[in-house]
Amino acid sequence: MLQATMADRAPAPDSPDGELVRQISGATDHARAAEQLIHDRYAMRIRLYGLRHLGDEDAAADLVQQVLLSVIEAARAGRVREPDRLGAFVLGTCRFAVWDLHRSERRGRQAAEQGAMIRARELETGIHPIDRLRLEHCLDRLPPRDVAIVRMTFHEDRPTQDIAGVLGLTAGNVRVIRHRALAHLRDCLDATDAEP
Amino acid sequence: MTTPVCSSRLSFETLVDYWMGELSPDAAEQAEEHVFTCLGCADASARAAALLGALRSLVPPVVSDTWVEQLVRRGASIRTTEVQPDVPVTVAFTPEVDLLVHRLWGDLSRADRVDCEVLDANGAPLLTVDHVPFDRQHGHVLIACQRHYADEYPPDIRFRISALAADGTRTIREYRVFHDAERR
Repeated sequence: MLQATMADRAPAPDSPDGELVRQISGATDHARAAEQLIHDRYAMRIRLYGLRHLGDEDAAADLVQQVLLSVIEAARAGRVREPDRLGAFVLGTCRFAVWDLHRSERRGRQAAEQGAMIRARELETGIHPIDRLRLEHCLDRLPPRDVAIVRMTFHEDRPTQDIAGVLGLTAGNVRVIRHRALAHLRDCLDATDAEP
Repeated sequence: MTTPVCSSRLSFETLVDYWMGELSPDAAEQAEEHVFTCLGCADASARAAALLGALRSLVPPVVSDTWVEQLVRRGASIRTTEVQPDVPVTVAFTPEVDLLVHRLWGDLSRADRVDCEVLDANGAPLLTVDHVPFDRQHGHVLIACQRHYADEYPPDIRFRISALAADGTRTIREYRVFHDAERR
């Protein structure tokens, strides 16, 4: 009876993951809609994971397709053992896919060795675009030492220890100042976003 | 399951460290596990990544030779102007140019630190950039002049380069660059 009720109900954006997986595995009339909701819910997170671990926008976009296909196929085949913990399943699928890429592709290995730091232009479109002009204005409002740390970190790719040496600070100080500066930049951008 | 928001949100500092690769592997894995269960933290993570990515993509006002070389390799069209102290030069940001680079020459062989001040024609400060990259061996500082600066700064610009030596002596040189707006 419960099963019949769930199958009759169209999934909503706030439907629990487990309900969506059960719709798919039960091949209900709403299975397609449930698949779309899983796509919408996890695509951004898979993309973020790909950017972090592959360091490349195209590779991250490929990962989104690959992982979602695997997850949907697993859901259809009833292979998602704990439907209510779909997030953990998606993350596990991401980890395996990236591990497999690292193993088989030289590019993947290089990205892993470099720590796969996020590169320029990534994520600037589609999720949270940032106005560079505004960002420059926000940078101008920071104290000179904070700007120097931000610049050495992001424009010159200097290691924290190196920056600390140049500025006569400890590495811990540099991290604290950098965190504070980045928080100010975030707040400044949010404030200018809110301006009419 | 995924929740729109969670009670124990990842801090901004944790997300920044995650994207900069400064979390331990265990902490990074924990952060990822959290992001996959919390939509709010996933959004915050995307925002942090966007900020860091945007910072990396900005062209800084003072750049290194390596930075310019990388930009040229990526296909940018750069016009470099050689500028000597107290010898005014005129430059034009013509349409085919992506970036103007002003190479400010001066003896920096004893410099430990170089700071740059951007001033208007009357000497009023417009921008200060401390600890700028410089070429000690050849003796120059590279100013990266971007097209949108024309909307923010006057055309007649002075650069004051201050070089601090290890013994505390400071050498100051001034340079003058007139940006010909008519030929933009």
